[in-house]
Amino acid sequence: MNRREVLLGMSAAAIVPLVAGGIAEAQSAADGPVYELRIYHANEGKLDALLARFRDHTVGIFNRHGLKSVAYWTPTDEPLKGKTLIYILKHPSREAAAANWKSFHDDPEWVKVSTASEVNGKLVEKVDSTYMTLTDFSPAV
Amino acid sequence: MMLSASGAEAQSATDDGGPVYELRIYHTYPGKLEPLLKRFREGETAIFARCGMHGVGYWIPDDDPLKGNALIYMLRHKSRAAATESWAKFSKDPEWVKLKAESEANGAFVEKHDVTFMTLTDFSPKV
Repeated sequence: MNRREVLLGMSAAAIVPLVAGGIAEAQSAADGPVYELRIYHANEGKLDALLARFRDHTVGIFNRHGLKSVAYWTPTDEPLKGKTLIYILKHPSREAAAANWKSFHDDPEWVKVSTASEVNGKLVEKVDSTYMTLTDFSPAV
Repeated sequence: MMLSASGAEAQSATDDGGPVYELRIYHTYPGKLEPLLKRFREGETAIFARCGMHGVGYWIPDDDPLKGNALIYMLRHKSRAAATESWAKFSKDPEWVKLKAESEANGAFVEKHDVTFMTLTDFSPKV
């Protein structure tokens, strides 16, 4: 059955919610992408293990759940040097961010990898997360 | 001596061996975010470019406590030494000196700024 046939088969009452859905969609498109700046403060001596987990697993699992990596950095100066990972993710919307983080946390590979990587203690002491929107004068990112 | 010299060279190649990124977070005084954004939009980013600083992205936070009083942006420099040179050039740039003095005639915009220099990790996309 094609779309036209589906629409023809619908009553007027069934079409009204479709219109409302269209408006909600337009609203969400106007909101545009959101960016998430995440700063991970690693526990003493755990930065290399954290970087290895990102390199070998986390980034790939992010991709699988629609969490798009903008970039990953490490600070070059004290006091953050050697114990901090800074990265930015791009999400289609704030709602998508919440849904994608949830599916990431439930991912069987993530559950296994995070547990295995922390048998000798947690890698991250504290995470700062800041959701942000591009300014009108920013280059596209 | 030979070994120590090549060790120093390797170290210096690492220090200058690629771009550095600078994450800057400006915490503005009440009511000063809009004029700060206007200044970036209408002049400051162009002066950055003229001084060799590449704007990667400029953002404003969506949530409290930073919402409405912070600008977060990132610059890319050719090296850490280039960053120092570019900032020195920028702060003496006649257009910047004039723009800053005029725009802040009724008070400074930025209460505090956080600066973090960083390098890309080996597993990062290019940016």
